[in-house]
Amino acid sequence: MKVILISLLGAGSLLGQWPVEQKAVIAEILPKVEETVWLQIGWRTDLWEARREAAKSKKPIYLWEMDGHPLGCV
Amino acid sequence: MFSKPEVQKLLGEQFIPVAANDWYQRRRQDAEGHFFRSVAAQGPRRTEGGTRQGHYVFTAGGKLLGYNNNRDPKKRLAMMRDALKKWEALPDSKKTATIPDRGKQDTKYAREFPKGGTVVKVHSRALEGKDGQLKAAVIGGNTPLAAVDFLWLKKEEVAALHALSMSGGYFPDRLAERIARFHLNDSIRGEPRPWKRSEVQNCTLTLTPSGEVTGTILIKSRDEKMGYEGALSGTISFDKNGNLQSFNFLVLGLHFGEGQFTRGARPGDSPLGHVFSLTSATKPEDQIPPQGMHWEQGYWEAEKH
Repeated sequence: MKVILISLLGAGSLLGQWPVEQKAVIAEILPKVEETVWLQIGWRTDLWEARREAAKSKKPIYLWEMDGHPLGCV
Repeated sequence: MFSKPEVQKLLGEQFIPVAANDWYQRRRQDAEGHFFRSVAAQGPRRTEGGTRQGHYVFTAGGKLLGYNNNRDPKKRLAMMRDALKKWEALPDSKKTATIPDRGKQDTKYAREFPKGGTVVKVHSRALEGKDGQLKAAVIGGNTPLAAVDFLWLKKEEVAALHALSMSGGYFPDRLAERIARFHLNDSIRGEPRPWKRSEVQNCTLTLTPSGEVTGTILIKSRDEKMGYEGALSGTISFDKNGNLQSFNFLVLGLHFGEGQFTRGARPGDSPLGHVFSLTSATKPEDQIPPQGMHWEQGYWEAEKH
């Protein structure tokens, strides 16, 4: 395993872009399109401002509350 | 659940969807914290100091219409529909509210992005070796999602990097330790604790005048039950005004062990990958504080605490 890691990281890099040798593993790490579909919902992150918006638009608030921000970290 | 078109349509059209970090919300002693806890107290989450995680539906005025913390999408959808029925039964006057000024925020539990700061998005993924290549790991038949976090840099820290880029040299300890201790964690299954200063045996990052960054990281807990060994390779560049133009880091390493909130680690040394990329942070989801900002002083002064 260490051999793979060392060979990838030893490949060097070019300013402002990922080198070809690293692109494949970077693509493995970055989220796939289907992993980010849930972000299209238009989540607000400011509860107080969401209250104002809800009051104005006469809609209920849906709050997703987690230990660790739901939009990141986990 | 939130990827289902039916749920997206319902949330987008009939609700104001909000996502929040309970670690702050349940603690903050200000109008927002009091309001949130008053809503939660109408449901089952009312233990003083206890978690209030879950999915809530309520009015702008604070009347709880539904609560659910079940992972079953059918049950959550049923809660949403039931809450909408209660909403429809409300008189018009209860569907709106006069929202006062939020007042002074509890700075102990409210985080503000530093003026002129920079956001670097950090994606992390469990990897596995396959046919001589590193691939997203398949664990228990599933590929765990990429974890997301954000590295925050202050304006003066970017200026220091810009100055360093003229001659080349070692990254400031503050930044190297922030990156190592707060961002090179196993965040795949939950919230990892930050590495302690005493656990970091090496986190030397070097910047060349051409903008290349390399480094090695070695971290081990005192009881040697958890640790990380990795190498960083990347580039940074600046525009003519000294603003970061790119910040591309790839960090590959081997992690072992698990923390209190990251149970279920793979046995032994397991490959972990991190990709750091500059973001303009124009979307709300890119503006949330780094997970490590729970401990604000430690995050900003990682070389001291």
